[in-house]
Amino acid sequence: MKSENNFWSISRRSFLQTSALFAGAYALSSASKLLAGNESDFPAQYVLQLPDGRLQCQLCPNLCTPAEGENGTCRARGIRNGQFTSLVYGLPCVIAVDPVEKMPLFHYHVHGPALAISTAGCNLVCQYCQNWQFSQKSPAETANFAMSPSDIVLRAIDMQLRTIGFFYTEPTIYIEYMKDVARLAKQSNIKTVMVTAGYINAEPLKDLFEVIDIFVVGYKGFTEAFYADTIAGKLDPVKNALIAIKDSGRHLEVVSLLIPEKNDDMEVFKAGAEWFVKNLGPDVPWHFSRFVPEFMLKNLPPTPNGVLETARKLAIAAGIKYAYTGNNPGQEGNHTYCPGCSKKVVERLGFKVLRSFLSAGKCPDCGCQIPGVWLDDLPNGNI
Amino acid sequence: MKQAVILIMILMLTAAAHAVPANYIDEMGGVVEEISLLNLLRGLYLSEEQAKKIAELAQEAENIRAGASQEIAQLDSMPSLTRLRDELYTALAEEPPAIRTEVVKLDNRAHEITGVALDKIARLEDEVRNALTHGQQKIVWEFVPCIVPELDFENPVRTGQAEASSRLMPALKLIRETPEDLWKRHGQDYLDHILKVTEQEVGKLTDDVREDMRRRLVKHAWKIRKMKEADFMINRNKLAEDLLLVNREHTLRSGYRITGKISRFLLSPHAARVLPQWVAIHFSKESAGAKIDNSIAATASEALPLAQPIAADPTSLPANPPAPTMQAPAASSPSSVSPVDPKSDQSSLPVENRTADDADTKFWSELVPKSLARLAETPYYNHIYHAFGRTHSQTWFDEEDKYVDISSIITGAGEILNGGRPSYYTLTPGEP
Repeated sequence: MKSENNFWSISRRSFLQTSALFAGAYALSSASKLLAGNESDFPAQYVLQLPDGRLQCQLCPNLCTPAEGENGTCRARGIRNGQFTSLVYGLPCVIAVDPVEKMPLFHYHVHGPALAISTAGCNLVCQYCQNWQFSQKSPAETANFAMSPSDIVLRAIDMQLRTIGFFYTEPTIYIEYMKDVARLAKQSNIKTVMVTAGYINAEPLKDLFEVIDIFVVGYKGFTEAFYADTIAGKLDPVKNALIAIKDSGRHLEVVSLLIPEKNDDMEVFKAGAEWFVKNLGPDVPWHFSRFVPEFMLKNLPPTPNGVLETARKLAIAAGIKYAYTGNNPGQEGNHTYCPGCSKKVVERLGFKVLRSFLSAGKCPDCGCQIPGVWLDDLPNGNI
Repeated sequence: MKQAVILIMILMLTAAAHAVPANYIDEMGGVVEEISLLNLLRGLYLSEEQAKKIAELAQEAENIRAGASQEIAQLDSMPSLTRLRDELYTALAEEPPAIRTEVVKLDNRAHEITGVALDKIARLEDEVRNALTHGQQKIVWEFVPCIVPELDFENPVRTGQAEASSRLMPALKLIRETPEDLWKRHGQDYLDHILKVTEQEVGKLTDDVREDMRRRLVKHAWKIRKMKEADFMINRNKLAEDLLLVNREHTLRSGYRITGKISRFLLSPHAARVLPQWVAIHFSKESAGAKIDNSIAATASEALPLAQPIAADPTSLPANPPAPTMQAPAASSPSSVSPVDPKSDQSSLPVENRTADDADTKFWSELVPKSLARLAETPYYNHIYHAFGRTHSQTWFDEEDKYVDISSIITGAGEILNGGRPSYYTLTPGEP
């Protein structure tokens, strides 16, 4: 809490000095060039040379081995001039200011909204993706902004934003860029949030624990069949990532989009909830979001509120203390209730915190400690 | 005899078939207004506390109107009014009826009572505003009466979604993307047009306030056009909100506070009827939501019939919407109305084979109305008419913008049928 209060103790001048040092080191490195065009040529990390000479990306379970001039499945990394290259380093295609509740992040109060960025590409193909216009594109197909890591952090400081979110598409695919932004943000006391599908291998994930403060992970379905059919991925690596994040002690929240006919079978859901409690514990917040027809699943109806509420009740019955419904503003499941006395301790409307009754994270009635990072001086919510 | 009875019955039936209640049009307009209000409520997602509070305030506003109405009735103006009307048939032009002075006094008094009532309602509006979140206030401000709400109104920005655009965005984009040559010719006129629309929205401004706002708009447009693309992307929602900043107090020529859209929708007589029902249905113990919940099937797919799946081939998907460009316009002096460096023309308008005349025509006939389509709802022109909630909206009707406001068309048609002239034909709205 102390660090929150002293957030602005670092002056713009001292930040600039730090940034200058960083930028100098960055400029001296061999990989410093930022292409102002559509693709960057930043050397990719987590690359393995196979015995047959091919280069394999070790970043995510896709383990792509593209040929010269080709891209990996994510479209954000590829082989250029014999080198595995990040094509999106310093080239976000989306930059916006959004409330952290949109991520969704409920148990980590921050002052004000976050600066959110995203690059083109994604290592999954979710058939319902609502950002498919750039998640299913390569950087050559999107309009990008040339912004170095220090540009991003300076922009956040200028706008007095205390959080940077890696959001909208899978940040894993631009891990080199994300790490550099996060490292600079950390020096400036800015929190970082990675909103991810958790489709990442163990080693790169471990490296992220050093620089990322908060993880919001999509536990998108509860069977391997769903992952294979609907999002072109695998469930097991996601489960491993969830457990690793939990064990790392970083703040973790989990989100599941419930899609009619795809992952709304409540018997299957129960098994997913049991796995959740057993492996992540009862205190990790779990959000159930309403699906709205998008991309390849426009033939399906939006998720009825009743399904979200049923899932929430089943999750609570399985032992989860903080289950939420989302994309359905004005519902009971949007608020935080004290697990000790059932008092509504944080009241929300959509992405707004209307009221927080917590004092030092404790329920004012029964004193129960609610896990998370809470601000007592949240000004009548973050309205 | 028998034939005569049958004939009389046929005549009576025919007459009945053609007989339309005198207030039929008003009734239709009223139902349309309630539909519109329900659309708004569905988009606001009021909490129980908010809904109850606003319902109470709507009732209070209704009481204020009833009180004012009674006071006006006590003035007993009708005999004087009818006498003036009758005398005007025959009085000579150079000898106006003596009763006119008395009628003017009575009319002024009626306006005064109405103004006081409006001031009271404006105070209630402040209370409603305090009960709403900033996001909800924005929804009300941008709401346009409709039978079919826009898609994004029913599906607000969702978790993880990248785009959130204000309804003012089309105006913002027009200011930013209009090519330099076109902006030089029409920029100031366009900003004046925005000012006019704003004035229709909030009421006639004083000269000082109008001039201040005009200067602010010019500066704001300059800022919008000179910004770097990344800054524009980050700030676009705020820029859009700031486009029509109007201090609603002390800005009107009438001297009274005029009520805004919060009153127009949430403190109207319709709101006083609709809100208690809304509260009863949504927040009673056995609410409609709870009933739905109780009967929910194990899976959503069991509960709902599904449409045929579409091809899963991404190539069959709709075209990619326009994405932001990397090019940043250069800055120029704020004193100029045409602020963008000619090199930084980022127009999305087709340039090939386009003459200046074509571009000018398109600017005014297509781009300008479209950019303001969602703003130009002008509910009130008349002070008393306004105060008593007799809504009379004016909208740009544009199918592409997916809202349908037939309320004004129905009421307007009714007025034409009755020999009147709908107020949306008025070119210069009357001062409240």
